[in-house]
Amino acid sequence: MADTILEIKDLHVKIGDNEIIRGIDLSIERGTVHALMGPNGSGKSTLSLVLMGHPKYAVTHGDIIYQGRSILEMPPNERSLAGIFLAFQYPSAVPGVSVGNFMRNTLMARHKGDAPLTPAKFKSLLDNAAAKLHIDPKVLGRYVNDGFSGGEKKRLEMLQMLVLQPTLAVLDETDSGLDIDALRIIAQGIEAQRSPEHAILLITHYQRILNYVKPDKVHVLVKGRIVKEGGPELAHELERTGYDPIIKELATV
Amino acid sequence: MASSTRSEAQHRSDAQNHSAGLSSPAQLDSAAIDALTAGEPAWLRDIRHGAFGRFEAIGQPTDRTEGWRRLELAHANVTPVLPEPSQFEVSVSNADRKKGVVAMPIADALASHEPLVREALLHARSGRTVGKYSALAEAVWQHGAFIHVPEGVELSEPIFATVRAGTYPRFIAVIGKNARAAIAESHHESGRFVSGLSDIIVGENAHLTYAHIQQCGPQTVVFSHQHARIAGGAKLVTLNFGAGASLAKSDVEVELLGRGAESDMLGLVFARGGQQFDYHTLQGHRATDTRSDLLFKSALDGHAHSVYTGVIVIEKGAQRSDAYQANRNLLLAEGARADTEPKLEIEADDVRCTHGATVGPIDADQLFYLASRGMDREIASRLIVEGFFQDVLDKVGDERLTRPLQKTFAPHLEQES
Repeated sequence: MADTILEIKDLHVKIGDNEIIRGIDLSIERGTVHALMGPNGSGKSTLSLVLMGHPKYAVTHGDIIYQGRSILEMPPNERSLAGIFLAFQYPSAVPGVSVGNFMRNTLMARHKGDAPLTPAKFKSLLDNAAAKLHIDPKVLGRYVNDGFSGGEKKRLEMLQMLVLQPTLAVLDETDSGLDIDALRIIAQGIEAQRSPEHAILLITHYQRILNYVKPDKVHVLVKGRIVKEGGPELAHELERTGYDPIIKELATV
Repeated sequence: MASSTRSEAQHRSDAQNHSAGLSSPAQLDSAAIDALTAGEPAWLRDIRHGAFGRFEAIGQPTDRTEGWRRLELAHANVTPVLPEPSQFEVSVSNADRKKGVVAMPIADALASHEPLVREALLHARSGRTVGKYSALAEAVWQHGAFIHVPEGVELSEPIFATVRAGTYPRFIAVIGKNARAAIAESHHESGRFVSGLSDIIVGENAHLTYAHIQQCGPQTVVFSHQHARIAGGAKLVTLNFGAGASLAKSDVEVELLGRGAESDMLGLVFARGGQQFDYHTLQGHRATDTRSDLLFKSALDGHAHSVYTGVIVIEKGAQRSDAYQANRNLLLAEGARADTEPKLEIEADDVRCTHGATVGPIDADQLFYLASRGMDREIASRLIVEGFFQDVLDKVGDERLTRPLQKTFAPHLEQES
């Protein structure tokens, strides 16, 4: 029996008076990678932020069930501790706070009451993750995302994912704006996270990343609704045709 | 820090010997000053009487007095107290003493270094907004601290000058030509009232990093006037750190007097409860090709209140001056408040001068980012505030001076290093 990690049921989301998500149903099972594709403005980033609990968005209808319980009332930090991770499309800079200090606080938040994380253990955790992503360990001394290039920010998001080992990782356009070498490294990071224990929701505009990370399922989001679903072949079809035929098809219905 | 405290004990005992001759007057008047200053040179007694005249001429401030209007004086007792000697503990490494570095009570320095002391004291001026109280300090200081780093000497250890009691602390640092030094003046007084004066003189092509640290008691009203003069080619980096006191009002003035003089002025205020902080700064460009850069930051919790007024003066003839001023305020609670007011007085035409100020709560996106990594609001806010301050500490560029301050706002950092 498939072990469902995430179940989104008829989800409607508003920001102000504007309904951005207009009835999404989506199930993600343990051990799988789902790709969520769609044109700009389709609601992809909104969905990722709602999954993490961003206070700006109001869920007006439906539910989000994570590991058997509704998380709508759960604050973002508790969602994180429960195993949900969001790789942000535009992560915030935290000037004056080093990556090392940030990561230490991130880890301490989830090990309250446990034996303290020794400096040696901490260092090896970070060094291992950094090596997988070809990140210079010097980055640990830099301030979080402060003056980072686009590619550096994406890699730091991946580094955090590999250190935290979340049950559900939501990657919001982690592949956008990267050159081919950086894209390959990010893909390696995603593959390193892939395991029978984990589920991944890979949100992307382009099919490109899916050449390196093969999804189990592909969903197409247009105007706040999932309009098409299929296997990896759907991504290739979109690469050939673009989103236009789907959007036109919707308009004629 | 073991090495820098080596000669502290020795200096402290000097201080005690000296203070045996001092006593507190029964009231503040001209006769009291005569009694306090018996045996001092005539020029110094003239300075003291002149200053006392100014103190008496200026009325006690109310919340309608210019420069005081934004403060809440109802709960602050600004009536001066009788003078008690301010004895500094000064640590100078033996290696630096051998190079001729001197640290002693001003009263002693009058005998051994009269010309230098006289130069510093003659140029003292009343602060713009704490004028009444800086004039009083100039009149009635006792003991004080005098530091001299001779020409060409590079300090191997920072000098820490600490004062824990007394009412009118007087501090003088004279840095000779081409010398290099780092000095911290730390205040931990906890009486009702303190008014201090600091004069900093930086000689040609010298480099000084100077921290003025205020960690006075929670009931103390603290006035401070700092005046620095920078000669040509010299650079002064100052940090004002404010964490203590119920009400602290400071004038921080830097004058760039020689061609190519540079000043980095940094400020960091961490206010809680009902604390009030008021900083008035002056970036005085009095010569060509001078550069000043100012960054004052405050984080305000509870119903704390911060007032910042910054003046940039560029004199006619101070061409190619480059001045920058920024004041950033982080409001951590709904009851906290910050007022900020820049003022430019520019008489030269070929200058670059910019300023900026911000007042606001912690950025919601930053908070969400940290929350998404599992940190609760308290930890996330603490980390963001630490980062907000770290930026200022980095600019000081001398960890030996700034490291001890981190434990004030980031106590957990202590265990990690």
